[in-house]
Amino acid sequence: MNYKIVKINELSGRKTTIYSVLIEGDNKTLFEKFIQENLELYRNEIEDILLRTKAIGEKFGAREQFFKHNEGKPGDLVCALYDNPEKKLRCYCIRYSQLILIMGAGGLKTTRTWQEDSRLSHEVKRIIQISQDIYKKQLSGDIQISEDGLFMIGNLDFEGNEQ
Amino acid sequence: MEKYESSLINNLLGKIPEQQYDLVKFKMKVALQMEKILTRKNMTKKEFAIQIGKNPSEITKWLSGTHNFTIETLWEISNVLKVSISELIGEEQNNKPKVIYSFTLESQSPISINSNPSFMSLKAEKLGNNLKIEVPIN
Repeated sequence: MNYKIVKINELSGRKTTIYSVLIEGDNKTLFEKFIQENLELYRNEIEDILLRTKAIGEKFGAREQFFKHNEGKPGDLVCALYDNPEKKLRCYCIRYSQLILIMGAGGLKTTRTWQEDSRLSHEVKRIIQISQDIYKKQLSGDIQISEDGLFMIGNLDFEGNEQ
Repeated sequence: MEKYESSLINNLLGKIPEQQYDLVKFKMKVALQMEKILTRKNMTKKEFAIQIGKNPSEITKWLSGTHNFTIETLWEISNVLKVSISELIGEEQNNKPKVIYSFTLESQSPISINSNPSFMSLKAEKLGNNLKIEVPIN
């Protein structure tokens, strides 16, 4: 899977930079595709997730308390953002730090765990893979974090990764 | 880095009323405030849950900034945490009295003031031959 990490200017602010993932050949990021796919049926939830993300970027930062943690594998920083725990729509993301958030995709969680749902499983595994790729690039020095902690700098293009 | 503009997100945000965004921010602010109070009081979520008679998962939900609190719940929380509801919702600074700078002008001869001594944001009061003026400072 070839992809790049792109900054979503519309949601980023002085508290947190919001990124998403643009897969080669697509014209929309994973987060935008998630919005598009669920907008018609779950408009309120989508609007809430969008506004929460914007508020994180502009006002509050990606504080731990706003996310559901341990959604991926231990240490991979994958967590979920939702409009309300009682609602079923989940957006999976990488909470890299309080200052950097990478929005992925997700969907309706109707099973107890995401592993039991093939669609969700696909989305979560993909975001886990992306998290691992970023970690590797950070270890090799291809990706660094800006001095103020707000930006990922370096080579944000990922090539030849197997999904 | 390559600049990326999202017309989808831009259009969607443009259609959402500002009040809806304000409400989302308000709910997140209350959650943040609650977390700060717990930290300040050295109280864990579990301890708080026991004291207020709820499941810890309920507290996690409250702190996620997604919960619609009822007046009753806010009242219970403020009692357990021993803070005012104003502090809980992060509005306490609005209730603080304004700082007033006051001074007195001395006059050698009798003075008269308008029957309504308040003009603009100043408050004037006649004290004998003197005029006391209070200036609110924001």
